[in-house]
Amino acid sequence: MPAGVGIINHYDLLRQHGFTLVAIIFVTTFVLLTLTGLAYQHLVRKEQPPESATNRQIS
Amino acid sequence: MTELSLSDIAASLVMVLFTLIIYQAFAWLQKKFNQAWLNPMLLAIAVIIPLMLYLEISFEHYYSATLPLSQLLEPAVVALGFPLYQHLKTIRQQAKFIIPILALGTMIVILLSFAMTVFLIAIPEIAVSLSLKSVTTPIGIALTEQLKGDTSITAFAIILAGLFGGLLGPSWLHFIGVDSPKAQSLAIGAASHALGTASVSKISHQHAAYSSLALILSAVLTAILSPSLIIMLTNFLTNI
Repeated sequence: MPAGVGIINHYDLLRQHGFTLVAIIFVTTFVLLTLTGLAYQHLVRKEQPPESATNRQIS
Repeated sequence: MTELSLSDIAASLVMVLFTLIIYQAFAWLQKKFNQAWLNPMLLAIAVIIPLMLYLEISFEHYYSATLPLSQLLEPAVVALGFPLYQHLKTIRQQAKFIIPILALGTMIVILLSFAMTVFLIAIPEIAVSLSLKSVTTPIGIALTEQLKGDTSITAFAIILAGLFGGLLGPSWLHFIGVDSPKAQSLAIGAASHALGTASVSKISHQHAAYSSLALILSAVLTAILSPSLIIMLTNFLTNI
């Protein structure tokens, strides 16, 4: 927490680049969410196809 | 001389106690109302900053007075070993999926955050800080110090990443078709560390387990991969 209070020394930086800073954090956080979520779901489905999909293949 | 150091110790004690009380009060509020946005760290910082400005205490004074609190971050890193041990069975079973995904995701986002910050803000220390924002606070701060980033920007970015993923992550993942609870919690743990984990843990035990698994593994992977990656990026920049 003390480290977080240090933002006080960055008033100028935040005034100048605050929006860009928050936008970068926002975008990259959603990129990571999307990559991890899609990749894991895709790999797990490929490895163990859900019941319904296997049944369909047999019939 | 003795009088001066005595008053220093007293001031230090007051600031440490005050910081702890404010944090605990907000932590209690969050527990009571169960809302992710009532983040105790963010709210406590929002109370302390105006107070310091009003009392004309400089950040350097506050930081050195509360140094014992900052030093507690180191044992907090070691404490992460315990949940890692708890999840050992799941990790062994799923390592071939989870570790490559998290390693790749972590590296891509470090590169992306660094590149975006360099192009848009053009301050290397800030680029280092934003690259390390997806991990839990103790690891993020420790790595920032090591890689010459700015620890207060890292702390700020870590809270925001946690809030974005914790509050909006579940609906965003649904929206893009990631419906499996394991995939959702893994993604939120990787992008939004302890804050995201806390907010999905309310859904089920499985959510809690996968999210904290992702939080720990991404922290370890970031600690291993980020130093060489960021040093490489910084060298690349200085050579242009």
